[in-house]
Amino acid sequence: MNTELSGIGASPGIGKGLAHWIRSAEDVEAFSVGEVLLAAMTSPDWGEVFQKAAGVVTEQGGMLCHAAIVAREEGIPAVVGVGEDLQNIADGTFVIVNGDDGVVSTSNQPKESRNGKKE
Amino acid sequence: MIALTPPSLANIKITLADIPHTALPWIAEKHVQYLDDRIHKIGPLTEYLKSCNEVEKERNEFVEFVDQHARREDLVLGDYLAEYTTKFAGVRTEVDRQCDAILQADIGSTRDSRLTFWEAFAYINEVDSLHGMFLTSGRWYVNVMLPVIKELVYCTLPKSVGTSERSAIAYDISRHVVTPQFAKPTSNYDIALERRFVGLLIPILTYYDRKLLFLFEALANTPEEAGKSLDEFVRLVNDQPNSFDSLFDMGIYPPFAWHELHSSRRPRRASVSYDSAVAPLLESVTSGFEERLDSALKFLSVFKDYELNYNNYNYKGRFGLISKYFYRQTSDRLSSPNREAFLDAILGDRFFEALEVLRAAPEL
Repeated sequence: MNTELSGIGASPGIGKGLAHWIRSAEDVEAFSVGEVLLAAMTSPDWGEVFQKAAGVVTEQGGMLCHAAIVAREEGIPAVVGVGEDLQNIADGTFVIVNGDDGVVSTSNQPKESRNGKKE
Repeated sequence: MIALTPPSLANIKITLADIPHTALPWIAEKHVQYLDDRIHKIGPLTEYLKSCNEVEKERNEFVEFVDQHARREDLVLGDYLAEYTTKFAGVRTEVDRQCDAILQADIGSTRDSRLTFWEAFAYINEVDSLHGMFLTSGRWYVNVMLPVIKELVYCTLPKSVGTSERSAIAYDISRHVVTPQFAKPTSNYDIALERRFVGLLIPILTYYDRKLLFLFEALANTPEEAGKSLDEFVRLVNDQPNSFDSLFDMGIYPPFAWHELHSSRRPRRASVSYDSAVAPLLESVTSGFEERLDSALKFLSVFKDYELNYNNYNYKGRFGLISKYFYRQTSDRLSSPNREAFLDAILGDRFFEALEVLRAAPEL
């Protein structure tokens, strides 16, 4: 089922990739180039993750929050302040981050596991 | 016009002179762990700050202070900043006073005196945490810059928006932009106006982003060996302090910028000039509001200075050093499992939880 969530487009552009939640320090290690970072909130301390991400989406924060600041600095599309509904997007879901309009959507593309196999 | 700037930060060498160098690897490790956990556990921390009974009064007062100013049709940013400065300086002065007491071992030598100090320490730092949340994020209901952003919206709304509705519309848009989770949707909310404003705001925010993230650039030429391990970075800063003079001058202890060091190796894109960053706002100002817009931009600059000051003092400098030194001293007095429970709470910025552990620890 396709999902469309609204937040604030905090860094312009459109990014696409597989969703990758970061909920703990261990998740940072496993983040791959081209994935879309999903998190409750982020920090400037996650510079390495931001340099790999195709897009950033957070539950909390607005245009002045850290996720927005680093995403703009790195030139990565970002939508922030989506709220708890973001939890409905699972790891591996194909996500489109529209940083111009503040919309995050999932597509009909099949969910993929981390090793690239269709599920 | 504006002299209400944040307190200046002293060279961090002054603080380092009072901390045994043998403690620095532990302090650096725990502080970086604290910075990581703060983010990974941001949900529980936000919930904790939103419901911490001991600072409920301060939390409610702060939210009301920001929100009431933002809602005013006759908003005067100078008055708002003056009131904010008093609040900020009051907390900082007390935090700094406690830091001095810790470094001078001036907190008494009995369990009762230590507990009394910890009670005051927990309270003021919980309030300081609230200030940080309201200054640097949009995680809970208001952000300090909400009135400034509202003023920027107010001055740049299309001329077709009438005077009578301009303030209310500007407030709604600023809430959506700064704290979207807490902006209540109204049936006549104009998303097109919001997107128009976001487009005007992004360039000036991008200009300040670079200033806030200055460490990426400042650490770019740090010797490769510093990146091998945090211990190695601490050793390098001890052995070659002159290489880090510019950061020391800014009140920063370089090993606390461990993550920034690793991110600094990539070339940065060219920075934008202030003039080009403000151009979209200036070109969109409604006739008659030019001076108000110019004034609001100056206030934005001051509040961004507060944000940078808070980050440098609390996360990268003096408070980070002294607080972790104090936690080490305190945890050394505790037996397991009190030590583990104390460190878990205090490194998560849950000051009153940590205080409860200490109250129940006869060995303190």
